[in-house]
Amino acid sequence: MTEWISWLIEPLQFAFMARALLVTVVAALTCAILSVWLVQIGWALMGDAVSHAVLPGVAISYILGWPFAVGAFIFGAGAVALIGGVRATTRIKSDAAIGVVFTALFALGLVIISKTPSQTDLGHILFGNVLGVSDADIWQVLGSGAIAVSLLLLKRRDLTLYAFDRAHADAIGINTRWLSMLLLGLLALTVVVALQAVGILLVVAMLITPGVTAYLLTKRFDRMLWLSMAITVVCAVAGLYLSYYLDASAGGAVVLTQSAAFLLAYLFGPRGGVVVNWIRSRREVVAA
Amino acid sequence: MTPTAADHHVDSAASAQTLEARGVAVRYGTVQALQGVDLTLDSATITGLLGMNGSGKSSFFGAIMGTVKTTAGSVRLFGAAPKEARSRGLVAYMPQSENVDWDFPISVREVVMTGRYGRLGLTRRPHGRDRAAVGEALDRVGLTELASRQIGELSGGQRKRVFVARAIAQGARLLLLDEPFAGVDKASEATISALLRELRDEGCSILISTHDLAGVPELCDDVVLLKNRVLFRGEPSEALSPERLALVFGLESA
Ligand SMILES: Nc1ncnc2c1ncn2[C@@H]1O[C@H](COP(=O)(O)OP(=O)(O)O)[C@@H](O)[C@H]1O
Ligand SMILES: [Mg+2]
Repeated sequence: MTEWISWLIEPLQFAFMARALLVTVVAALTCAILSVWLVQIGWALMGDAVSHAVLPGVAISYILGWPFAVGAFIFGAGAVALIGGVRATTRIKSDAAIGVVFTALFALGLVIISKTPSQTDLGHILFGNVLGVSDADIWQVLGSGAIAVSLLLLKRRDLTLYAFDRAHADAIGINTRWLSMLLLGLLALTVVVALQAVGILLVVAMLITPGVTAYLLTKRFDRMLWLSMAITVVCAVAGLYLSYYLDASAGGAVVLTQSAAFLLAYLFGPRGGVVVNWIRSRREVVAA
Repeated sequence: MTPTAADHHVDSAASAQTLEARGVAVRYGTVQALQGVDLTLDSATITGLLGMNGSGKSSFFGAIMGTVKTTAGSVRLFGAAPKEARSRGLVAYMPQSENVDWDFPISVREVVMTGRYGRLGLTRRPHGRDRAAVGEALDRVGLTELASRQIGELSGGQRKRVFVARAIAQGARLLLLDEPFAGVDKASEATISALLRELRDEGCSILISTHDLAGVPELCDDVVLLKNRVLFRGEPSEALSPERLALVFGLESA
């Protein structure tokens, strides 16, 4: 028993681990909440796009000494606007429009960083540097996370209606354009929160995996939301401890833990679990 | 039904037509889905909007609800701007089955509750009277027992009744039903038709799109034949004459 406790407490004796835990949990929680709507609307690719598109924003922020959140948000929201613009003015299919825009912005980020080698560490931005977050970073994460979480929870019924039946929302005079803008703005904000924890490349995992995992476990939206949050917090903590004791990438370990949770839900979940369905079908065969 | 805020608004607009569309046109890229559509609807009538697939029925609904951009023409609802009428909750919409995500994690009761959202505050937290209205609506369509089911766990006819219940809970006066009888067995169709007649008798104006002629004569008071424009408007018996149908449906059912 005491061994367990010391196993749990040991990492937290290091200030950097305590901060990493805080940042990871806040980031994962914000992503987990947004995730349930993102996957139901079918915006997973949009999450991928926005998370990549913030790279030039982060790079410019470092160069100019701005808070990283400012540049990242500008480019995240800018990417959304650009994608919308390309879609509205051409006949290009939606996924291709998304692909063209975000890869261009990501490439722009790479070029900017390659021209300013001294100030920025590409690896930290791409893969996260949660063990090295500064106090300023923490405040940005907490501030952005608090705004995103409270707006999402406040408008959760409208967002669910938007995801389920946009036409009805329009028919009763709810401003769906505004709702979609709110959601995309919150996506940009959430990406800003999460890239500190797991880096640009893995943000999309945190935006998709919790939502689909919870979806496999329940048929009720409210429950899906709470499950997504609960599973994600457990995974964030477990992942970070794993990374500490295995001396492995923190962002990688957190996402991998979430993937493991998805795998469990996929295999054993009541709603679509392949093992459960297989056993059920075997029983039916035997019974027949 | 108990009187609601929406009923009160209707009184003030009682003299005006439920729907008044003038010269409505809709185009998608190079496809001209609708052209010069004039259509007025009175209260307490069931109107059938008949046309084959691609004739623009769904586009017309979209134009009424503001989800589809019109390239010409105007729409008035209850004598007011469409936006205003929609905000008052006067217009209800039943989506075509293929446009509904039946795997969506939402229960029957929750779907019906979305009919009340226009009356609710910022967070759409329902009050006792909203729960009561939802319960009443579920009762009327006979889904009380199934209220906690996920919407995909219903039969074709029960699924349609969920959206009728939503319109009732909303207190709408104009119901737009897109293909309400597609994928519905005869018994359920009769149940739904009876329900729609009741709503009509309470003063609702109901516009039903369908490409299936069976059941139209008994249900509809009035028929509109659509083929990207209005070809005919009148009595069901006249609309369903072989020559007219050949015009609308081409070789398909001539
Ligand atoms: N979103 C869209 N983009 C492009 N074309 C569309 C779109 N929606 C409908 N159309 C086209 O407009 C025409 C009318 O379609 P629709 O209104 O769905 O007819 P109906 O409901 O009678 O089957 C069809 O030719 C259809 O292909
Ligand atoms: Mg249609």
